[in-house]
Amino acid sequence: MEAKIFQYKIYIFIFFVLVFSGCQKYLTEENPSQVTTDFLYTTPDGLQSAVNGLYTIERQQVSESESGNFANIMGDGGTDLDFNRAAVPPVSRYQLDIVWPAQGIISSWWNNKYKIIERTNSIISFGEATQIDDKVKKAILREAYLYRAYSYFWLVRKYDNIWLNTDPTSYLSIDGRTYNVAKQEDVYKQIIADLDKAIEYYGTDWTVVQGRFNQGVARLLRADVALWLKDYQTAATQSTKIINEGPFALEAPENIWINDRKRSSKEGLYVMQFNEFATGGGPVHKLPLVFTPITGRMPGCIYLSETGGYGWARIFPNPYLVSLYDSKNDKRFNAWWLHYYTYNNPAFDFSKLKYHFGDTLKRGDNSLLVGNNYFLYAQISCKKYWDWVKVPVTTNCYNNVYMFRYPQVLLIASEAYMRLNDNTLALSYINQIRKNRILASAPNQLLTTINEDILLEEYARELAFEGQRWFVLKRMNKLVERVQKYGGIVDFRGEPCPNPLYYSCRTNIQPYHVRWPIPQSAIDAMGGFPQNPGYAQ
Amino acid sequence: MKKYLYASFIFNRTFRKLLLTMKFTMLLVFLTVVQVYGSVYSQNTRLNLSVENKSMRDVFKLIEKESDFRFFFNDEFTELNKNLNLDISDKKIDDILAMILDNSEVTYRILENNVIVITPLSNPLPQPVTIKGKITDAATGEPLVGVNIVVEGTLTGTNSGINGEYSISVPGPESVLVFTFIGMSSQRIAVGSQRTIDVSLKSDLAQLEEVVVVGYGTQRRSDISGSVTTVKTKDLISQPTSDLQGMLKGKVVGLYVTLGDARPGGSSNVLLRGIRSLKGSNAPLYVVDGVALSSINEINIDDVESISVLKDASAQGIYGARGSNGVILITTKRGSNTGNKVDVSYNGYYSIQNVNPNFKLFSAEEFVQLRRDAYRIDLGNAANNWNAPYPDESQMFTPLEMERIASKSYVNWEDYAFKKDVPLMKHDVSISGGNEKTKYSASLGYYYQDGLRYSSDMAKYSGKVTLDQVISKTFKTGLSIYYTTYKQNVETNSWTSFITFYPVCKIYDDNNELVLYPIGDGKSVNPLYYQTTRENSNNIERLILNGYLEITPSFLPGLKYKFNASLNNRSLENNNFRSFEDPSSLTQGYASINFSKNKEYLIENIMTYDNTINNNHKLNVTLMQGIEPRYTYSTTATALQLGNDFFGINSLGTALKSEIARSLSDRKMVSFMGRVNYSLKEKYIFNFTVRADGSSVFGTNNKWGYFPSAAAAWNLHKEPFAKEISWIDEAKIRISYGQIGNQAIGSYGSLATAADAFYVTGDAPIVGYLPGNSLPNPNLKWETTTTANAGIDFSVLGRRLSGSVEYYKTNTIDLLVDRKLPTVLGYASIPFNLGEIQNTGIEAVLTGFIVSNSDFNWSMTVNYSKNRNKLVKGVLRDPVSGKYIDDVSNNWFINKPVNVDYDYKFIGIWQIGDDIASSPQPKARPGDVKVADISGPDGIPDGVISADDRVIIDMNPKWMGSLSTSISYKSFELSADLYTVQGVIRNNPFLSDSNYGGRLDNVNGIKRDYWTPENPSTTCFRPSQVLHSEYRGTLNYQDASYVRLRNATLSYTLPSKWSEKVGLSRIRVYIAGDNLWTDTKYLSYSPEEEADAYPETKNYTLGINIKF
Repeated sequence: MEAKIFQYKIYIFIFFVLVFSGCQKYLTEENPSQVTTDFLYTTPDGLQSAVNGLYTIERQQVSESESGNFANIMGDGGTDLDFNRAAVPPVSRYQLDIVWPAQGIISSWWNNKYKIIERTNSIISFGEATQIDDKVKKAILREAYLYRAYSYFWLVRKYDNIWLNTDPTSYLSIDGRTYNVAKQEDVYKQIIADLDKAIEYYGTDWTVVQGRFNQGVARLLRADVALWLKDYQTAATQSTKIINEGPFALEAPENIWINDRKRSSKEGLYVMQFNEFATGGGPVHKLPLVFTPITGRMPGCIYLSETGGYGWARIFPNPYLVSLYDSKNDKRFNAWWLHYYTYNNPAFDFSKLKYHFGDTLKRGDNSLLVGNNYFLYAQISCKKYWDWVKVPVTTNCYNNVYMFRYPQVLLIASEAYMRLNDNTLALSYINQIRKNRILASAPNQLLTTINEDILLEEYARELAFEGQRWFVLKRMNKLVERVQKYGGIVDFRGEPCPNPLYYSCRTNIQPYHVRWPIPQSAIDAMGGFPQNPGYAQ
Repeated sequence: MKKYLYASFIFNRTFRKLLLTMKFTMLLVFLTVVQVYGSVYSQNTRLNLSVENKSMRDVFKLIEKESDFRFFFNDEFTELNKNLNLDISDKKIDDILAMILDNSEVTYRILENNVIVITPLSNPLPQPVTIKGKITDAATGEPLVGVNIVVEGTLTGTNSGINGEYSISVPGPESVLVFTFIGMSSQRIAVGSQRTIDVSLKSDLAQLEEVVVVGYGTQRRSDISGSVTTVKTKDLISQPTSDLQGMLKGKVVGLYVTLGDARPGGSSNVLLRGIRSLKGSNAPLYVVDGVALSSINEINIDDVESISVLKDASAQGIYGARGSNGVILITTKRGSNTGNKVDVSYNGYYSIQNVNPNFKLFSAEEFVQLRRDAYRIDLGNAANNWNAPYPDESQMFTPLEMERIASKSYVNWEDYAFKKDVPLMKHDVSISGGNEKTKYSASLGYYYQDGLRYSSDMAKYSGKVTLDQVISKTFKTGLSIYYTTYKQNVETNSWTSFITFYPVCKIYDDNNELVLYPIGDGKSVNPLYYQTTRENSNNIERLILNGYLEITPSFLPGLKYKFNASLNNRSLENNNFRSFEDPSSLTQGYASINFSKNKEYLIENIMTYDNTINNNHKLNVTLMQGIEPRYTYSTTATALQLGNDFFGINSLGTALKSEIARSLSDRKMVSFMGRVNYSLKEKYIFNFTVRADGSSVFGTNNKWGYFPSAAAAWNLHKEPFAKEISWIDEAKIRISYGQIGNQAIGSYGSLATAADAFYVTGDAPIVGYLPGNSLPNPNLKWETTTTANAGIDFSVLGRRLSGSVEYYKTNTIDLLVDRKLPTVLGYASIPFNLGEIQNTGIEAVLTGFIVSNSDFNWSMTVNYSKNRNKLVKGVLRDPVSGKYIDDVSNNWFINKPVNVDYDYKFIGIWQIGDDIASSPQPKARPGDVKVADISGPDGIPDGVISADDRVIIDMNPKWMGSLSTSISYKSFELSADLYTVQGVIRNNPFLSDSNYGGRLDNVNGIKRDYWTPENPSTTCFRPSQVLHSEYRGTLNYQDASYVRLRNATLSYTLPSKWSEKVGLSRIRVYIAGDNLWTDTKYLSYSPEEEADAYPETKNYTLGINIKF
């Protein structure tokens, strides 16, 4: 009997243990290797790492699959300066037979910027509401404000008609939204508010940490926004504030990109970071290949570091851009561009050929250098994107990308004072650049007059292939006119271009091309959001 | 005579199909006789007994409790109520009984198995006679172990033991012996003067009494109300493969098994009754010995005892949130009671494999001609002069090529892509045995499959040990250990790189060294070259530990509690290596090792209660509670630049640059299940099941899911009116309805986690996290499938013909999809429950025993199934009307099947002289693909080919069927298995895609009847180097229906007198052929795979089964 009672007791015990043990807690999920958004938006460490993540999102634009879209923008696609052979060429050529709203580049930038905006919305709205030390909070949130302003500024200039939103997204708020076109003045109001907040939060802090936003970026953007709104006084004030108080300076043109590789650049306001050997060093990118010809495929040529290494031959400077430089006196002419390629393989047997080691590649040298190939294999490289450290034959690159460089501040200051009719000051700022870039022996080292065209030429010489040209032309209302006049490549070293597509931008461009279309995927998803005028509905 | 049975039995039975037979035997026992109990106690056991004023009946009970003796008596004996006073210590049973029965009117006899029979004195015992004999299977001559032998009208009985031999004591010559055995017709034999009675039993065609594994227990087939199909493993074993899923093809009606990965160690895909999930898995749940496994690839088929497939909600319902894609229950072999005899058997086969192509490549000459045709046609096309002569050879070929064409230095790449007569072998040794207390089994298996492709093969070793031990009347325990390990070497080069390779070239140079670039273009690498520079292998180990404790408390007969615990551990090491010589690695070599580990635990408490009241009400209640935590760990180390490559993958440590990645996840589940089975008079059967599953992967607000189901069945043949219809043997009508889930959510899918977003400033890494592109959804829940099922099972004409027909309709709602979000919200999508899919279908199985006698048997089974699938509600809605609309980007169309393509319709080839200019394709040229102008937006052909002319192409099979037949004559048996799938469309990229030679230009491919001016083909476009036909992709849609002789086996079982001479009890040898004949239009190595997949093989096998 005792044994039986004992048995009963065991059964009852098992029953209770099994039925009433806490299941709910057992089923609560916790990811052992990932942080939660709870931690992210409510603690100083979380907020800081979220802000850090913003840079990573922006850098996703340069990943292997996206580098064509990124290179198109950075390589001044669709302006008066570039010859775009293969980095999303239809968009650069304003091709009319393609459906623009469906192009990947149109949605890729849109999506990337809005992704950043949503994350900044979350960081700002949760971060401002969190009880943490005010100083700490400001040091974290100023970059979020700046990122939001930077992203909206990019969107409003590129697409004109956009959706404005500063609320974070949650699963509860995905339905019942209305998507209306924001008034541009409201967008700019938000941008200015965010920039002013960022500037306020920076206070007197001018520290520059490589690869991060700083007060210089905040004021540069504030000055640029002011130019767009024709508020030249603010543009002047903000840009001269950077010049007078900031830690930035011009460097010798041949050193700018090499110094960056040594992590000691003084020209960089914001330099997107890559690092092969560090965690967080980002994805492999292919930007150098985009701007380098495939010369290594030529019999007698090999890929070397001093010729840019492996190439894809996608975007090149057009003859107009090259013609802007004083080839003898402008140090930038050779420091930033490689004009000629030579047969550089000493092990190659040239004995039976009409060209020899050390000769420059010439049209008709061999069967590869004929027709369009001459435009392809012997083009001019932009050295601004070269990875000086990588193994020349590898396609994997990890060099940094200058997003904002100090000369832009000088050019903005110059333009602002020109618009304010103070040509003396205007010339003083633009000549700071020329003093550094052009040999003192040159007769025209310093400019003596200034107007919009002179300014645009200096913009081209200094900031070509740094992603600013399209915006500058649009702001000055000269995009269509200039593309019609200089776009693409009509001839190269006197050889007429055999491929009419290479200069078709001149005839294709339409007035409505001054803004990109709203991505079709976004219109489909938002329902009722209007397409920009001129583009297929 | 009403018999009162005091004894509780452990049944002295042994047979291969232990689990299947258990219920049947229990039934027999209750209805008829007592079973004797093989003793480990002896009559010399000494007992102590002290009672005061207790009835004789109680004293017997007490003795039963203290010893292993069991009493049998007629309950009507008044003597039993006589009160006794005893104080006995240390006495033998004979002495004790003598004391108890002193002065009574009864006496006793102790039978050999510790059973004590109490009989009246007035009926003196006749002289017992001992009968001996051997029982064999009439069909095979194989000894039958575990046959039930009873003396008719008495309680005396035994089982056949070693070699089918038995020995039984009968009261006298007038006794009659009854021999019964599951699956066999029983026999009655009068003893008479015989002292040796050998019996051979014939198989009984009725299988309705078969015991079926249904999950958390077994049921008699006649008691089942849901849809369950069982597969006999003997039908599967002769196939030479390690792919257990693939073996099920054609064996289970309603199961659509397709080739998944034909490489050694690969497995097939299984789909039950149509696609139910858009994003989630459609694979069934595999449960091996009660343990849910994510893959059954490593299970050795030789260890499998039975396979049950649960097909409707009432059967699947016990697996709740995981059962909706069907449940495949696999029961492995365990030891059985062989009366301490050790059963040893060996099964082995050796097979050779070859490819079985249904196409030809262009030969080198044909390919050269193709190039000439392409050049000429291109010129003709440009000049609009189709009769132009061929251009000069020098314009079409380089000097090197012309030289090679002249000297015929050609390569037939297929010769180099595959090995021939590739071996495959399997060896399995198993031992098992036991007695009524202890049962054990152990097996060792070895499988080796060489690959058809170079550097691919697989070697697998497995071992299994089981032990079951009765501790006492109340407690029983057991354990099993299953271990398997295999190494799979994966081929290093893609097959496409072989067949598309230019055949005019040389692979080896004059020194017989491999040429790196056979064409000499500096980029097309000789595919053979990778065999020397690459290595890719998987090392897999799996360990399954399982233990249980069973308690059968005495206070409530029929109640049983089982505690079940198991661990399932799978570890994988994937190695990937490229040496310095590898042409594709610009960096110095490459090595990557991935270690991943899955650990799955299961702890279950199962309570069952069985009771039969008045023989009319049969009740079975099962309650289960369990938890299942699962953990996955993965670590990857990648070396991008190696210091040296001397040690292959083991040079990883010399890396100059490396990357390490780590990921881990876990998921937990808590479950409760209840099942009630009630049968009234064995005619009306009702089944109710409910399962509650709490899963960690479900959203915070939806942790628990509840899945109820109900079923009813009517055994028509037990009704009086049916009994009068002589030709009906069995008939059952079943209906069921219920809900089950699909927890197709990955871990943390509902959790708001942030992704790594590390950044760097200069050389300093900085920590960054941000949410990824998918917005977390804490409301995420399982997909729910509601199934209605109706079926009829029947057996007629003296059980000559049997079968079943079923109809089902399933609706799956709350489909897990990634709902696209406007990207302005900062997220691309959100995991969401949306939409509905419906599947309806019928299934039929018919088995006939055409000839059945002792020498000659011929049986045939036909099965047929048909499923219709449609998307009822989709993901996208019209913003205005709110109606569900087609999602073209995902190929999801409302009211259409899920697995469809959307493309133009091929109707021919444009010919010279056609009025192309005024056709809907005005820009077409002769030799281009002609597509149908189906409709403009208004449904009327509009004279223009536009996106509206695309049609929905249903890729799903219309129906499937199989026919298996088996003919046996004496010791020979011939079986064959035909299988067909009809109405399937597959997309074959080899017919148009440039990467597969489909475009007819610069790379080789599948030979086709292409268009030339002189050969106005209507099936294939013109070859070209520059201008390729538009819409040529429409040629890809090929009918992949097929009929196949999947297997034919001829076996011979040696007469036992021969095998016994060499000391073996049974020898069977067989030859078999697999995939012997296929009829299909699909151009590939298999109608279920594209030609670039690892090819399916055609096999010839020689095998042997030996029993010691």
